[in-house]
Amino acid sequence: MAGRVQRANVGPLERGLSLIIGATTGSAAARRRSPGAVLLGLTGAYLVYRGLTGRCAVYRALGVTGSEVGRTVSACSQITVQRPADEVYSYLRDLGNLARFSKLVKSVEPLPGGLWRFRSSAPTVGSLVWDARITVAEENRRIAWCSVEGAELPGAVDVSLTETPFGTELHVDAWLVPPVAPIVTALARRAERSRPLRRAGLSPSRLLQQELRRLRQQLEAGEIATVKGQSAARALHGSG
Amino acid sequence: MRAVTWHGTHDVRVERVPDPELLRPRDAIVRVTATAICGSDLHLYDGFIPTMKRGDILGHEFMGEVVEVGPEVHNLRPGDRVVVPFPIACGRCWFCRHDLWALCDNSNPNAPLAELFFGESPSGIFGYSHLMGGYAGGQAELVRVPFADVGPLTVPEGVSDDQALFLSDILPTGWMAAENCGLAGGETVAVWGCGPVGLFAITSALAQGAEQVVAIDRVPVRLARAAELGAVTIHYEQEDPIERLAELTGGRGPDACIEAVGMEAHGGGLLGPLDRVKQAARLETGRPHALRQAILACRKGGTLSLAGVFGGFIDTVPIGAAFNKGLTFRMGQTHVHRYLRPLLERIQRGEIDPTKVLTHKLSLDEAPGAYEMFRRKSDGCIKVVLTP
Repeated sequence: MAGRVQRANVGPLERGLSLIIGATTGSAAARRRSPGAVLLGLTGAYLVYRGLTGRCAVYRALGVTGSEVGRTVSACSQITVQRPADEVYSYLRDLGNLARFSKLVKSVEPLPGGLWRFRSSAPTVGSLVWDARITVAEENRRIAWCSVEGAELPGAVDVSLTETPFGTELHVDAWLVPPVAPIVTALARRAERSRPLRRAGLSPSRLLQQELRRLRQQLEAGEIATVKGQSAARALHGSG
Repeated sequence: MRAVTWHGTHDVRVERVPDPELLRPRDAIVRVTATAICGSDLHLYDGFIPTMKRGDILGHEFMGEVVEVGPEVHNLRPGDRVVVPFPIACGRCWFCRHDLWALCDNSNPNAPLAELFFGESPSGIFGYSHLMGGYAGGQAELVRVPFADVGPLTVPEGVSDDQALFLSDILPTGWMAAENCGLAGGETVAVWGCGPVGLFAITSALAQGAEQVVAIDRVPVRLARAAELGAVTIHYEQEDPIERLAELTGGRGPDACIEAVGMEAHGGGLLGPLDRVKQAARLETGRPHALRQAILACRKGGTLSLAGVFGGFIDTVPIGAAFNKGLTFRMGQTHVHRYLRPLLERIQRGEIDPTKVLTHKLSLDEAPGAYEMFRRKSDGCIKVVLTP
């Protein structure tokens, strides 16, 4: 029976907001005498319950939890690169190279003690700075890195390399606890499980795939294709 | 600089736009000396290719003089006269290394968008929608050429612009269409569409050993040009192509069929008007009448080579006929880089005269009228070259 007890899955700030909005909605419903007032009253009551207990059935259905594990987004993807495994490995072993192709990482600098300082600038979360260290370095076969304890952006990346007649296959697994509202994380996790959303490019794995595509462009072509800044009969801008 | 820009269905303009700049180390800037309107540009003009944006510069058939090169371009110098392949290819990915240049992995900046439509992304193409990369095209005074160390071919002295320009697309496209037929010698090849690509496909099929080439169209001037090149002609509004092809092949049907029409085929019998309604309503993206006819006409075990451009979905294609007749389909954007040198040599030896398809030479400023003339096939128009 213990498994049926729902744990709190709403953060403290959101619980406070839930209480305020629920109370306001409830009092507004009490002043009305229309059929809609009943629905409004029930909504207010549920929001007050949600604020008091910290339990949300909608979040539960979406898989939102308050724990870090519950807020982890994972992604996996593969790509084949027309370069030998030792070259790919050496390139990735220098984490500073990530900023040369990644849209998510702005810069990566080495620090003393085997640490690397990552800086990122994402549209919704602003600037982030975190440190990571290489956790696995099996020459030409596998490279992995992980954020240090307490990092602003907890996460890890694991890259396996296999040389084949078609080039070097990269199999990449990534985990991340993004600093966004739990509902966003839950939606991302849901998207990852949805084949149509994956196909539409709206899942974390597809974002990872785009990162790998730019890595391949950098390693194979030596540059990343762009049309940003090219001519057109409109204000100077690009689309790619 | 001046450039031909797209602003919507049947609305192209010549406008002043910023000069292009080098954006990547392998870029070059080319001053265009000659550029052509392709039949596939009409699909943009007619509004059937998605992901165009107002102000996009058109054109994927062009040549000119190199004015600037990036630091990684060591094979070209300012002043070199070059013809540029319409697919943009990095030269280093698996596909480029296997001579499949139009499938380059690394040249489409909008690959995720292309994957939504096609599952995988082909190469980028100059001036041919954001699905194909959103690259500015060559119907302009200047153009930025990415991966210029791989694509452009230096044109030797003694070869004129009119002779070299069509190496950028339609000549290799006609050649590959014939090559995809897998001719061993002595075959009958039927070609649907006597536009520039169809005419080059006729020339190419004969050069590659076809015994008989049959050309199908409805425009008298184009049929006349096909006949001049050595084809037997069928005016499809006056004769039934399938019956006539059977007559010409002892009842077997042609060994190979080249579809050089694409998504805006005319005719179609009962299905024709339905195709038009569905295409206008965007329920299908192409009118595949020529393709249907080619499937039905082709001999059992024959080959269908698709050179006409298709971009999305087509309905009522007799796939059962294709399956039960055991047809082989070959198709795709042309791997132009593969054919540049061998075809240039054929031009130099006088074996191919590309100028035979050229009917109109106009200035870049006349582009809007030229598009309309080409669309209507008026004034005997087969191929328009614009000079900036």
